[in-house]
Amino acid sequence: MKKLGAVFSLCLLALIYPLSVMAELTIEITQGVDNPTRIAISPITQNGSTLPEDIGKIVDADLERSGLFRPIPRRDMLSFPAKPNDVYYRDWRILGAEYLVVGNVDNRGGRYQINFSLMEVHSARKVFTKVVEGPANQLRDLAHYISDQVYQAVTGIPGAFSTRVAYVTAIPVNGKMTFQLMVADADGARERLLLNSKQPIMSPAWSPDAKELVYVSFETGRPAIFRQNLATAARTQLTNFRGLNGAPSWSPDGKQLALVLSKDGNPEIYTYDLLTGQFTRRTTHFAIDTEPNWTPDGKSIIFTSDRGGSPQIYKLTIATRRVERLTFRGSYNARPRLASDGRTLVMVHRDNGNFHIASQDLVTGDLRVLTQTYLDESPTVAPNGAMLLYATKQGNKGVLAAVSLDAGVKFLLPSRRGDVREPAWSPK
Amino acid sequence: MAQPKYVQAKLIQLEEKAKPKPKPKPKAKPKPKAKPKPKAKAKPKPKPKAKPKPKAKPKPAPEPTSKPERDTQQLEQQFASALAEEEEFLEAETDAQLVSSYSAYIYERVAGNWNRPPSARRGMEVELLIQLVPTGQVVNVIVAKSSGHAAFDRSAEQAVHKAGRFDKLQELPSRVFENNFRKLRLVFRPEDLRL
Repeated sequence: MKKLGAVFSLCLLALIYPLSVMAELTIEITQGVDNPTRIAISPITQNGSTLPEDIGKIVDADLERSGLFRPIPRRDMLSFPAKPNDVYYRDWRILGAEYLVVGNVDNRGGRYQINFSLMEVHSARKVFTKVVEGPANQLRDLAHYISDQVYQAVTGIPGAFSTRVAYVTAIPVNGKMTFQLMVADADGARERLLLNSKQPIMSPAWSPDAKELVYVSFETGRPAIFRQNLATAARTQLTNFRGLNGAPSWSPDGKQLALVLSKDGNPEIYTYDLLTGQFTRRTTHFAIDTEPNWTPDGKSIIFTSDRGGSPQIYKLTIATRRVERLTFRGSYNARPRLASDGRTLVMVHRDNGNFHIASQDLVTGDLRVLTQTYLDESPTVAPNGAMLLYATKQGNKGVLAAVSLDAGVKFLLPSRRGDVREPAWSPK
Repeated sequence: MAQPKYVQAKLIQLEEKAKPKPKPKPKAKPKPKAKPKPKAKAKPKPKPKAKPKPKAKPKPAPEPTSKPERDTQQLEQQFASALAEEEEFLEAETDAQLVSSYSAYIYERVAGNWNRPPSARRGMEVELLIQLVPTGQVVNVIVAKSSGHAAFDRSAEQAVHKAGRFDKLQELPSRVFENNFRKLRLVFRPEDLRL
């Protein structure tokens, strides 16, 4: 976090308007500090009685994990207001809170309805009051919804707490590896097994509506791409070519996949029309072209290629077939993913012999190394572009780690069992 | 070589008066000098000896002392008048100096409490009008010109509210407070952001 420098610039203008009495002194504030926002989440209960899930705790944890908030511990609170009118602002000013969330729950025929408000402590005023409702088994979703609303009001960017993450775990069982495709909430809760296999599972990718996944499974003895619905668990095999069938990426309009096939000799980028089942070859080069990913406008595909002598990232404009090189710094840039702004490229970047995650601004060309861990792989950006997940090593174990796109927040997500790899953040 | 010494002595005095606050403000110097001055002059001051200071401004010392080097009496006289002139200049300058240093103080307090949201970008600008009472307490904050980004506007308001009270303003002569600090315009325009 930036600190206010000892030397600061002060622009002082006593504006003199010739015929006006408006002559206030004007002070221009050109610097700030950007510390995490102090927020307090008053317990959200049903008239004092607790719910199956502690809503306030979930919101607390969500906001804290974003790195942009530093919640005030519940044990320090002097009162537990549930409604805006119950708030005694001085209690919260003493604690240093800048914002306060209060809420209460109604149970209406088995459905929970939560009224919640965000309050500004220093100016003693309400920012908003909102309502959200759902059944008992969705209390966590209601909590994440509250986190999203609070996050957006304070930071000006949409929250991504209601999203999910798909990933692959590899667990040794009797000396043999078992592979599992998992989906969990973005906070790691409600982990769910989608597929269990003795053969490797790779490259999970989400459909744009976040209802399906595509991935590579070796269960048939060679790599093949499968599509699976999360709600019904129904799955379909999409490819069965000789050689490589890999790295699927769903187009933003949901109609196509970009993928890698080596059926014609060496790895090339193809698109696959999900409706017609037709494959179209998109690259033609003797070098390896792999790891395709769509741009948010759906008009281009970025991919990794060693056509220039070392792995670098290129962009293919589909309509014109024009290929343009995007990365120039360093001798290894691979596994590109674009943030939803279409401007922030993240990738694996080799820096002094170590593999880190880096981001590159496609407009200014600025490249920043975001991580300090080693053997970093598979970056995936949250839909709000504020944070990314990647796979790394802790000891000799594969774990997931998170870093904010401004590199200010970093944390590891310790693995509960086995190696965790290839995270994919859901688009919504 | 006696004169340069005198000159230096005066400059030191000027500097001492000039810093009720010992903050170095490299950029601030030229601007406050040029702008607030006409203001201080504009309002009728109860000072009979208020003379036009432009003369005093460009190094007052070397000019008068340059010609008569042999006549010490004349020299002393000239020195005395130069000193008097300097004094007036300082008096006139005091308000501007105070305004400048207390503005720096306000700047520091507000900037030190300004948590910009991550959506803040260079080029955003919000203008607040704040009202203060002589205790330094902020009694009113209004957004005079919004940036169009609610979170950004709110961060600026929060910065003022968190600073809350500018105690040091109590040290100001009430004339300076009334003329400059009862109503303040704060323009928040981040220049230290990466994007």
